[in-house]
Amino acid sequence: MAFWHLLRDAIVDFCEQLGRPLAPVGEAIKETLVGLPLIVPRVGLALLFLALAIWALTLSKQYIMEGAKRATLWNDLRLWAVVSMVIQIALYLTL
Amino acid sequence: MGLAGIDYAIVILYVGGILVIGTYLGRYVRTGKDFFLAGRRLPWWAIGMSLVVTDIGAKDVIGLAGQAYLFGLVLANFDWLACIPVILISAFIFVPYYWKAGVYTVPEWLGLRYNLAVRSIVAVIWGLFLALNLGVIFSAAAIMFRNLLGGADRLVAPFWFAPDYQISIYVLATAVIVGTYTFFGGLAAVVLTDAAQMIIMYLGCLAILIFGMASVGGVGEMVSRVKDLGDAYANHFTLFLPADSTSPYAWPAVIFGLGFVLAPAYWIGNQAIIQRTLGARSAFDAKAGLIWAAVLKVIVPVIMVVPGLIALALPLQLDKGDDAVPTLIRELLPAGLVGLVFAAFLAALMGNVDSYLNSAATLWTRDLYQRLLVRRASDRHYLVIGRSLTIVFLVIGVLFAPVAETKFSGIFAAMQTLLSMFQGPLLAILLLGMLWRRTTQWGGLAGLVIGVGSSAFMFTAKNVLFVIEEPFLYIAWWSFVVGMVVTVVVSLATKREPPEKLEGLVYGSVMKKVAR
Repeated sequence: MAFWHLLRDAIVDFCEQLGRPLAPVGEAIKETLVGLPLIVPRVGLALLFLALAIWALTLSKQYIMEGAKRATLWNDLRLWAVVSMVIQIALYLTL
Repeated sequence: MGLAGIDYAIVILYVGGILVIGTYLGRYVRTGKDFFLAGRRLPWWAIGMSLVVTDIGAKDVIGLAGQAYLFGLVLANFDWLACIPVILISAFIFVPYYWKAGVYTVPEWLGLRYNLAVRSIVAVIWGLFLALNLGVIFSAAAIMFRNLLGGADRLVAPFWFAPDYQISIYVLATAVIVGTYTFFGGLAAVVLTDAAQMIIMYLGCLAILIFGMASVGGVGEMVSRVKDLGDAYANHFTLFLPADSTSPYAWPAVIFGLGFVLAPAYWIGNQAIIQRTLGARSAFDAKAGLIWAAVLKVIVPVIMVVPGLIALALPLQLDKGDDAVPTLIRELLPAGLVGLVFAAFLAALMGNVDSYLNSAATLWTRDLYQRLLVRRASDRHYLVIGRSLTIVFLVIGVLFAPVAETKFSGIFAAMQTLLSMFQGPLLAILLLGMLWRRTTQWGGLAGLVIGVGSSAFMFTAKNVLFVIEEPFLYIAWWSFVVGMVVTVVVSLATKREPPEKLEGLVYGSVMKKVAR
């Protein structure tokens, strides 16, 4: 058991030595992100959801309905996609 | 509070019903395709409901509320950010390709797009993960049983030479029930019982929410009481924690690690998820099943995250966050409803276990046994192997449960750590393989191997590289970046794949056919 503990410690030590030069890079990235106001990720995600909704609407009906028994409004998955994205936008802009 | 007579009656009725339905469906299992893909006859509504219980298990009912107790509403991101947008992408881009390729597993698709090495590595990793995940799920179940039954769990020691190694008798009973109908009924039994399990699970969680909210005095009172606890709780009602938060859920980690890597990898590359859509009766049912799951997932944070905040507002003196839901049940629910909630936990547990069990058996049979060991046996032979592996993985899961319980402090964080180790690189090669024709088999292999290696390295050196204790979301993101870069560089340095190999496997070819 002592051998395995020694081996584990040696691997951890080796990886930590290897990782030490990377730490300042991570610190710089973190400092940049800390400087951003929280409105940035909030609005960014809302725009992303909006883009997804628009993208879903651009898909052809033939592709979406391929294999469907009936082509009704309720079966149009693009509309469900848009509804779910609108809910997402509302949640992420308010909470 | 333990279970009263009426509670036992509800639980027995529920378990008996599931067992009868699941086992009855075994009558229709004649071939390997019936067992592994339900004969490709699954309707969208059952797929969607099954996807929810595959994703949400008893560990999540306990873990989501437990983490919300500690960190707040930010946990809702695991369902809202990490599911709904990604499900749309999976439904409209990826699943149609898997479905049209006629594959049984995700590694099988990777084998067609890349090579046997990529297929085998992913199959081994997923196979091990699915099997070990069963242990984690069962360990959550053991905690749940112990808390719900007021510490009256009964333990058995299966090995005479290790009397301290003990397993919950309730976990054993659950394993036998799930094993029986999964063994006989295959994917059809799993998906159709999952649909019933989802309804029971939602009803049970809704009962906790309603009684908890009534007890605390409404949403406004809950918010006010939690905020009165002090500055440490100021961010308990927002989806975004500051970037310098010491919790694992700072917004950059949530958006980049969870939203951009772990979530897509889960909904695009997880065998347990994708297998349901591969069993759909049409391409439309595959897509609609996913969209239906997205709609159902909207409510999950309300019924599973908010109870953690209620526990904080009451306040309950808890040793750890994972005790929140079991304590709420013991303290608030009347007899009869405890039985319903207990059935809901069993539903979440069984729905989760049967899904992982069936997927693990499918993956090991198709991608490892059939591909590497016995290539030209009869369909009946593979059916027998699939069923046998169901039992094998169930036994592994039950035996691993006590280990998982003692080694990992937070069940939820432990699962995410395991996932983050290989989800990033897997997503990188899935995305590039499907969206970029220039990706080569050697690029994919290098991206996968070096990407997984990078996560192992980051996990080992986490004390130096990260300031927080559980950096699994950051590890997922950076291993994804490493996987992408390596795959692109090696692909550009190696010979292009012939166009005929890529036909029907990369984005564009199927779309063009439909547009014509």
